[in-house]
Amino acid sequence: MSRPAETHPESGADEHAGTAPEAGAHASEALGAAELTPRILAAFERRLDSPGLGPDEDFFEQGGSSFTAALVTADLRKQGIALSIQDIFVAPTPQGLALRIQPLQKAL
Amino acid sequence: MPASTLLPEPPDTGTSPVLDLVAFPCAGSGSAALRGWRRLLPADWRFTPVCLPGREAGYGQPFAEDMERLADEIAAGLLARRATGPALPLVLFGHSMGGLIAQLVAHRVPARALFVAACPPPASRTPAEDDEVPPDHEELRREVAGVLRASAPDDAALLDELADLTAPILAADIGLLATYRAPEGPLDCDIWALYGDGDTVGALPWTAETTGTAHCRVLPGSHFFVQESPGAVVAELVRGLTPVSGGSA
Repeated sequence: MSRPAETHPESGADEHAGTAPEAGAHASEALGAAELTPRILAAFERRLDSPGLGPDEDFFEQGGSSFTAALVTADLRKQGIALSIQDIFVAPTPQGLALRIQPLQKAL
Repeated sequence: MPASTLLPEPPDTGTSPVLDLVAFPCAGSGSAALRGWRRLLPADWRFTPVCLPGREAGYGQPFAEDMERLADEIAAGLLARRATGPALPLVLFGHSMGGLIAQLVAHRVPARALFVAACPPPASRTPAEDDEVPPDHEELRREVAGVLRASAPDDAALLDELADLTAPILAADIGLLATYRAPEGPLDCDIWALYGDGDTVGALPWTAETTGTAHCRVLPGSHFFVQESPGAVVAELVRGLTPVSGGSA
């Protein structure tokens, strides 16, 4: 019963809205929420083995556990994204998590 | 603590809801352990997986230290919700320690049915009983470490982080469990006791706890069959509640 992905207006908290997701690797700029969301979404989809998730879908409602949350954390850290396992529990949607961890990101 | 964290507002079912299911996870867990049920339950059931204080969205809040007070608080939240919304038949579900909390809540808010999973009847409990702790912590830790290493070989600190995240919650809940006192007198709603056939606890019905019918079902799985086979547990709820839900399944 997964809902179709909805389009969302760019968040006001994101200074880099409009930049293509791949462009996040600009040497001097930290990733913004708009770049983080698709990366988080991809990690959720991979670890839940559930393609086609929407940016506002709840990780745990889609079958995630503390264990799979740990694996998502590891996947994202490997891409240089800073977060803790706890962040996924506090903000369990890709969009919500992106907004939560955006201030933690340092320039790559 | 804000009731919104303890009893998150259930999403709109889109249709007229026919019953209100409130579920309590086992010790060491938050609502995440049960949130996946939303995909399995009939669309016209309202579903609220309870999130005990100090975890998930309530991270940083003090843990509950007294089960009676916690049940009071949850009951007050449910009564407040019923005062402003439709008076749907209330069904309570609890896994292990959550079953005991659900029972205490059922003594405070009239419920149509109580489901307890991996939770033997109160009279069979011994004060020191500690059925929430996996039998061999070290073995479990090694097993989790092995899978984490294989799945995320570059993140050596992941296991410690996972343990640091979950251990305080489990410790707090074991403390909470110690404050449980069996309530006086029986309920009047039907009680279903569900057990895993591989669990170490005996599959006993809750006969002494209700003047209604005490059902007993044994499903495949361990103490954690609720997580292992959510579909089978939901199927038991749907089957047992057909008279309450009007056959909505």
